[in-house]
Amino acid sequence: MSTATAEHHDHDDHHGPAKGWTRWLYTTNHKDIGTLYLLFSLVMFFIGGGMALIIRAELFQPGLQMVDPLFFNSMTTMHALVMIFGVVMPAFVGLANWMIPMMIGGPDMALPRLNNWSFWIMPFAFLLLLSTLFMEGGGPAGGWTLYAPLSLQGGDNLAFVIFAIHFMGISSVMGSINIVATIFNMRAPGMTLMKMPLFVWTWLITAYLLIAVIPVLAGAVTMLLTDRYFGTSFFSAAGGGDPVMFQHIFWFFGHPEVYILILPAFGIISSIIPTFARKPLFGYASMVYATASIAFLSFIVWAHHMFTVGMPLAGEMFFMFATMMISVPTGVKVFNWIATMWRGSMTFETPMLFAIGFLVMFTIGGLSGLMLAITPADIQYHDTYFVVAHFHYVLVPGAIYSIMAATYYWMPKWTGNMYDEKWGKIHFWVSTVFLNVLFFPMHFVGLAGMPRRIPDYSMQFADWNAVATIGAFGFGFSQLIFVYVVLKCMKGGEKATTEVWEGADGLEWTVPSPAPYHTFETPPPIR
Amino acid sequence: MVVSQQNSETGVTQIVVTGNKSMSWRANVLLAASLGAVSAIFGGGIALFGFWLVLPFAGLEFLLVVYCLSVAYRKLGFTEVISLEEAFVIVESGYRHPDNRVELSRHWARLEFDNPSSLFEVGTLVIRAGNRSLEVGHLLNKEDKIKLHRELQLELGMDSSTLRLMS
Repeated sequence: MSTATAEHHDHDDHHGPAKGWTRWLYTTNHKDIGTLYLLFSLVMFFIGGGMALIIRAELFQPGLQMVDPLFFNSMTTMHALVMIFGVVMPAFVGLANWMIPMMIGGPDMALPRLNNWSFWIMPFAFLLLLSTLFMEGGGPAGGWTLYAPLSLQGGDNLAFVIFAIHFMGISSVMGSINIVATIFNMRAPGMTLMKMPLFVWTWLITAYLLIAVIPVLAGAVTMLLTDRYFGTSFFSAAGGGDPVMFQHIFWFFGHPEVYILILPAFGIISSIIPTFARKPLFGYASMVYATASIAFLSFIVWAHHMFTVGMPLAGEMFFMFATMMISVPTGVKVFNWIATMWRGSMTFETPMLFAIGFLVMFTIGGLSGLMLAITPADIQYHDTYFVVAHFHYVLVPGAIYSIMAATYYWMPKWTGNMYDEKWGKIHFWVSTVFLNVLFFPMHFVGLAGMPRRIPDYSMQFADWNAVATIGAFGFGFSQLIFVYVVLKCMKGGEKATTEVWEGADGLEWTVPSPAPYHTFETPPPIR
Repeated sequence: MVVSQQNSETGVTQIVVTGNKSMSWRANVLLAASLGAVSAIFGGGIALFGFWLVLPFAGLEFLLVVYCLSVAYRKLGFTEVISLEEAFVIVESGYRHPDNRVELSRHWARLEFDNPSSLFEVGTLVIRAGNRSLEVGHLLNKEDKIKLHRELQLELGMDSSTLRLMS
């Protein structure tokens, strides 16, 4: 024990934000870091979107028009890596940073400095990844799955890609541990687990998934690295290794990753629908259990991504039925969202439009997923545009729409200003029309047999590809409306009230708008 | 949280300022163990097929989980106990045990609270006695800092008019 004559606790968190750019570099405030993640995600959305437009421009007509095939393959690979690791995941982490402490009545994240590191690793990871495009031999072109032995036969970009993936993984793991530590340790008194908002629950389960599977990805890509540069033969058949095992290990990470990309979206939609239906969420407990069930099942369905590599019949049957089982908890969720809206006093502000768009189009993606779960059918659909249509219906109206819905929903709380409702609605409708023009025809060309990851194709697919490209450019440019609405809202506008939305419920709506720099330094009472 | 209590034996008023912990250390250990077990099962299972490089990453991650949970738990355990004795104001603070103890003369003790109007600041509450000063309640929000300020004012016999004169 020491005795001090004079002492001033030096805690920067007492005061408001620092001035200048160093505020953003050194910040440990969860709201600042949330904003950084969201802005990073927005920038990456346009970079990844630009890559998608290059792909679609090339596919506007059959034949090779704009880019050479290697660059085309680089674009498909990078587009996926950027959209998954640079857009959807950081956006969800940004939303978690902003909202979880406020939703559970905590003052900040449990480990604020770790939070700062988690974010600042990301830009370096993506600089490393994108720098490969300017290297001799170009960027990675073997697909985001980095299948061996194809990925081992490319240029020296592999090492950069692997290090970039390691950085992304470190960032994700640190962010996830922080979220788990925050949710368990910093809930306000009375905020029991079964009182937590669904967004918090879904993020808790997502963080568990991330902590469970990131070492698997890290190990898999490191084994690729050692195969390429250190003479090992983990995945080289010539050296006694097993290339198919890479697929097993990758998808053991990859399928939970799919749910990492969608579970937080379920939480967002479960927050928005009750607000605009002015009814409590139907079947809260069943939503929690359904989320946990989906997470558990996500670990035992990985091989449905690779039915065509061959496996015993019993294996095929197991993975087919296990995959189909996921539709049960997912169906529970869809049912509960609809039941929440049933006889609700509904209004259709922009967040609600995006939530309903999510509900309808995510279900379309889910149904095509069920088709792909059927082993004999999947062998036909495998590596066709039908698969591309399926996962884009799940990820764009699923993950991306939920992020946009969340942004419109919580932006008044973040900025203190209401966004422009008219332009928000225009954004929704233009995006939705073009999104369907873009992705729906992919079902047709896929069922007709058009393979994915090709820069050229047979004449019979020309019409629908032209339509899809028109949709892509329409969807891409309609996102500029989103940027306009966000910037306008940040700059000013009608002042938001504390509650913001008439039917809003939760601790985040009890703090003023904009949310003070420090909230709930003392836990609020929970009824 | 600010809790005022009277020591039943000595009759000394104590104000306990503490953060909020919603989970016990034991539960944190179980949490870390559950996360570690899942990673070990996955890493070990894959290693059985000869692909052992998942295991070191799972191990490193487990160490990070344990470290982070222990740091988070320790940080949330910070407590200040302000004992208002007849001659002294004693402020003890620390995480598990009182690591720091400051004694200030009660007679000379004065409160300084810069209650800021800004939404972004929570202000600082300082007890000053002569040339010695000590900030208290640094982990509180503005509302609770005001509460702590009022309680200290009452105990130290300073009404708001005295404070106005001082300021």
